[in-house]
Amino acid sequence: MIVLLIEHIAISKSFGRVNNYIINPSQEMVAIGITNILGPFLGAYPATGSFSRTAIKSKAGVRTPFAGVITAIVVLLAIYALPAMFFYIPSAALSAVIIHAVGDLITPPNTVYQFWRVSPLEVPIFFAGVFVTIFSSIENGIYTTICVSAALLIFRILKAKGRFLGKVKVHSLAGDSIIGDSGKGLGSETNAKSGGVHEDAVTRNVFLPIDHGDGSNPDIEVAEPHSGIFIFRFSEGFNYPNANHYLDQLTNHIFAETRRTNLDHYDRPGDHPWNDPAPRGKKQREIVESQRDRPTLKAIILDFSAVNNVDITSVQQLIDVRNQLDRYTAPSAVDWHFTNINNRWTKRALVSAGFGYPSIIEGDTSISRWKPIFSVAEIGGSDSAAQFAEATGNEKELKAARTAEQERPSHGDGIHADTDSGLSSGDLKGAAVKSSGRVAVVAGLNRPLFHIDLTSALQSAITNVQARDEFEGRGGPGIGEVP
Amino acid sequence: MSTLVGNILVKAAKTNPKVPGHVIASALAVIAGCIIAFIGLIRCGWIVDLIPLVSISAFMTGSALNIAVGQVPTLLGISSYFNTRAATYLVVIDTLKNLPNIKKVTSKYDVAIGLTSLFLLYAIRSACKFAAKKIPSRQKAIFFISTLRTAFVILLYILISWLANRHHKTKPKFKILGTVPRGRVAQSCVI
Repeated sequence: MIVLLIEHIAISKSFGRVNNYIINPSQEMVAIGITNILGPFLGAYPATGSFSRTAIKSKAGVRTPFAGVITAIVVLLAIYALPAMFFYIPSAALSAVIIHAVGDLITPPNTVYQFWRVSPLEVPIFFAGVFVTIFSSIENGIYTTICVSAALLIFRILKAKGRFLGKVKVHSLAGDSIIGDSGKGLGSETNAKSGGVHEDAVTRNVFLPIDHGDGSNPDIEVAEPHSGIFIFRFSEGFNYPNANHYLDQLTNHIFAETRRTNLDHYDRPGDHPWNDPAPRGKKQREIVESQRDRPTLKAIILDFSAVNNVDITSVQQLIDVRNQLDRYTAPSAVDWHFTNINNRWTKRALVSAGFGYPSIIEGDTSISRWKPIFSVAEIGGSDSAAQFAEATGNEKELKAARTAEQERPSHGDGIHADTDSGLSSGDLKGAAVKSSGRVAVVAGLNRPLFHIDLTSALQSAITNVQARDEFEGRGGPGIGEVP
Repeated sequence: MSTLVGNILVKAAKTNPKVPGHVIASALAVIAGCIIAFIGLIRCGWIVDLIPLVSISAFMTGSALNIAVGQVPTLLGISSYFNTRAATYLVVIDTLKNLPNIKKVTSKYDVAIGLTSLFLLYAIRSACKFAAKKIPSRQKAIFFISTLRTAFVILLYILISWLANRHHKTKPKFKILGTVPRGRVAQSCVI
């Protein structure tokens, strides 16, 4: 019975493709359903749309459903006038006609080859479906293909890989000869946005995967954005099935590319987690030697352009990774920048998890522990302060609010000014160029770590890191405590 | 579609032989129609998007093979020796097993009619394709000739059949449809 349903659906779906106009599948289903409900009372038989008739009619120039009436009249005439003739139909000839008719329904090999060109993984699914249909039954074939396709989709989401992006400087010529050449495919959305920002600039930055996983020209050298700054782009959304996979990839890459800021950050050796071997003594010196050329981790920019929604699991994973990396970089903290957040709910989720404004370090010695997502109510006060700041839109007050949040007004006020101006200048620039009155950009002002595009994110990240380096170089009072 | 209904009818005839086939088919239509109309009315038409194209083309290929293979025994006039509604591969095996039966008298004519009509259909189609390429200005007319090839072939063989069998309706020289049962007409129409 379910197969009847599926076949109805399959054929009504194909209607739209055949007829080349937009169909409303629900309406098609109502039509077929009503036909099948009413038809049997007049002695009818389960009916669906007919491919061959659709094709013939569309070629014959049929434009309206009235053609169906004419077809019906002809069929009625045939049934009433010709049964005497039907008597003499040779069965073998009828079989020949049927075989000939269904022969066209078999997917021809060059279409299968086309499938192979488009998506190699789906060709085995296709053959599996055909073989199951042959050796078992049609309905099992349908179930097989649908289930395997769904499994493939889930597996893709589950094992999605993000990409680390690097910076490439491109010159746009007046013509279109360079753009679209040398593979800026993946950066196209970035192009559009950064193009808006640097409308009159000679060069602009686009961001390509460092491993050229997008098929861009491998001769182009994609520069690391900045030492200790990583740009990570999610590829298939960021939800509970794939959060862990993404962030494992992120941390593995970071651990391979950077060195621990301070190996001796536990008070006593016994404080080491047993599965976090931090070698000491000679071994430690060796490791320090071998990793001397590696940068320390400074900031991470997450490109959310392929992410629509986040959920509790993924945000919690993000918080865990943040804690892990803060431990890794202690006594300094990692800045988390976010760009291209598409959805205000996503923004809301990140804000309530404590992202979006600079890292807060509470005491002199302890590493900041980011509150897990379930105790969000505790920082509700700061949230409302931020909202108040947003309402006034005054940056001074905003800064005051944030300083109040930190409850350390004496520490790092000056550097705050630095970073803030650095951070929000990028945003303001974006805001100025972007079409006026976009809420997202205005809302971004009180979340200095949410950026509208990668360029401004990178600028502010670099400004931020440099400001901190300067501050540490000056030997300021709170080394590494200031965001 | 029709193979499916046919299979269901065969099964139903086994479990409950009292109910006539067309009643079952109609009941099936009502039930399926209700489900479909319900889905349509609650505006859940988007569930068709859950069916990927691969699935549809695999289904079409598979069922086309199924139907075609199921018809081969009839084409060769040996359909009465085994069940042509079994799984496709079984039908293939049985067809090959029963090939020697073609020698029997009635089957000879069946084979002749079947193979010639099949050949004729493909010949007309390829001729039309060729002609359409040669004379692009007549493409539309040629398309309709090509479309009508089935009707033409059927009419031709009805004529032959009538000439051969009109004097012995009760014992025809080769298998003919005979008095048309309801389901069969519907089946051939739907296909």
